[in-house]
Formats: sequence, C-alpha cells, structure tokens
Amino acid sequence: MTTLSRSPLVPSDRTLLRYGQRMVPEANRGEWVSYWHAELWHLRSRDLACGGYSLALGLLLDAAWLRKESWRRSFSGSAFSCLLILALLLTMGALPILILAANLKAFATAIESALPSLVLGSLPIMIVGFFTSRIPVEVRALSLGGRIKACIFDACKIALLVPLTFLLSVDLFAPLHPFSSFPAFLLQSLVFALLALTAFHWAALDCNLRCKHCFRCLAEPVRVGCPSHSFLEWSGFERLCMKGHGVLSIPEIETSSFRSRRWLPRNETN
Amino acid sequence: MSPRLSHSAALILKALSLGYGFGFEIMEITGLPSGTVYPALRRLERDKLVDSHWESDADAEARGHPPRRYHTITAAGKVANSVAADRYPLLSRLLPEKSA
Repeated sequence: MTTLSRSPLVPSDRTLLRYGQRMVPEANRGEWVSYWHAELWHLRSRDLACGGYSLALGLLLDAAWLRKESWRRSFSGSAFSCLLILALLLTMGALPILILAANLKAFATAIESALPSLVLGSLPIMIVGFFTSRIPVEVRALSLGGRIKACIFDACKIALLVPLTFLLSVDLFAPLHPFSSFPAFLLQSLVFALLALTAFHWAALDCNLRCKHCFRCLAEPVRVGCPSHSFLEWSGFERLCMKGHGVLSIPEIETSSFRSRRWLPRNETN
Repeated sequence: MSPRLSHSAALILKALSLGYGFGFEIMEITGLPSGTVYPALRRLERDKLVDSHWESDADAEARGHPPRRYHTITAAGKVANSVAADRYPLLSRLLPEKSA
C-alpha cells in the first residue's frame, strides 16, 4: 500500500487522496490509493500545465462508485431488502384507501368495516395451509439457531404479506361497497384468500431459494452432472450462496438415493 | 448476450481494444472527462468486459514510476465492442491505433 506521507505527490493531490479514501470501502482502500497515486503521479510527470485533464472529479466519483457498489452488493438479495420491499409495498397498498378516505379516522373506519372479510378469507387460507404446509427437508437439517432464524424471517414475511394482500383486496373492492355491500364483501373475501395463498406460495418458494445461513438469494442455478439412464448417478442443479456459506443441491429426477434437495454448508462441500 | 453499451462506454471499450491501457491514457485519447472514464472502467470491469492487472514492482522501478494498473479487454468485451461498432459506426474513425 502506498504511504501518503512519503508520497512524491504535491500536497494538493495528497490531500485529495487522503479525503477521497474515506469514501472507499475499507477492503478496496489500499488498492484504490495505489491506483490513484499512480494516476496522479503520471498526470504531474507529464507536466501538463493545463488543468484540462483534472483527475479530481474522476477520483471522487470512482471512490463514490466503489462505495455505492459495496452497498448494492451487501443490500441486494438480502433478507433485509426483501422485508423492506414488502414494507414499502404495504405502505403503497394503504395509500389508495387513505386517499379515498381523506383522513386517518375515515381510513381506520374503512379498514374496520372490511375486517369481516379478513376473517372469512382467513378460513380457506388456514385449511389450505393445514393440509399443504410442511417444513422443507433442508430446513429440518439445520441447527436449532438456524431454524429459529429461518422461522423469524418467515414470520416477518407472513406478517407483512397478510396485511398487504388484505389491503390490496380492500383497494380493489372499496369502490363497490356503497352499491352492493354483500356481494362485494364475498368477492373481497375470496380475492383476499386467493391473493394471500399466492403470496404464501411465493414466500415458500423464496424461502427455498435463499441461503440457510445469511438468507440471501442464491445465485442462478448451475447444471451439474449428466442425466443418467440407470438413475444411479447424480445429476441436477446447484445454487451457490454468493457469500460462500454453502450450496443448495437440487436433483433433476428424484430417485431413492437422491430424493430431495439438500443444503450443503461450506465445511461439508469442501 | 452482450450488454447494451452507452456511447461513452463503447468509446472506452474501443480505446481499450486499440491498446490504450490505463485510465489517464483513455481520457487523453477519447477526450472524455475523468468523471466519466474511471467509473465506466469500474462498471466494465464488474460486467467482465474489461480485466485489469498491476504492473510488477520490478518493471515499474525500472521505468522509474509507481506501479500502474493496466486494463485489457476480455473476450466478452471484444464481442461487446463489435456489437457496439455496428451500433455506433463512426466510433472506429474517432480513435487512432496506439503507436508502439
């Protein structure tokens, strides 16, 4: 790493580097300083009197780009971003009723009057959930701490999806209530149930395609092996955690020896 | 499928394909400002159209300057460059080949 105090650069360049490096993520800082040290050194050594080739803007934008990219990498596909997006959608879902109601009190009344459809719509959801829900095989293989974390994440998603789908159903049928109250109530309950079931199905799929350690979305599937005529060799897809926590192994054809998907933590894949 | 490049990114890729290898040199030959060239190089590198390597300490010392990072165009970058050449036909006339 270049030491700025012993650098042959002019003081203004050293100051620029010193302040610019604060924007750069720590992991890239050493390389960034060396890179810009060389670029500034070459600019000065060319003895270009004109400031036309000023590197100050490039230096600062480069540092900002690295910072932005580091945020993007750590945020995209994370459990936090998933919950944040759902929370934003929930807020957006509440907006049409809030606009129609014009004030918070009327909004609360509108929601309260729609609550019976939430209760009615919840019945088919509970029945379907009771008969179809099962803990995925790869989650059963996790430690107790891992399972608790997975349960908390799923509970948060469900806690956001239920009001979101309910608000969407209210948004769709609120204009119909003054004209035909009972049919609108029944239709709203049905639509809420359908939306909620679809949302839960998505939540289950999303849960399957996340790292079991950090809950980030797994990378695109990669085909491994060739389809075997004798069904004795493994073939299927692997989805890797981008943070390197493990691999989700999905068999192409379920056979007696490779029946289900498996989560292989890093220490087991090595 | 090669990504759709902006005019400035295509110009930078073209400069790299002609043998210009480092940020300052690309700025000089393309006339683009530093605030465009350096972030674009990062983006191209992230998209694997450009690769980079550091000059060895021994080489840099022999030449009497601090080690620099050189950028080179990758195979995917060459494909993107040829696609961009179809999209921006005047691009090839803008930049001269680098003299040895």
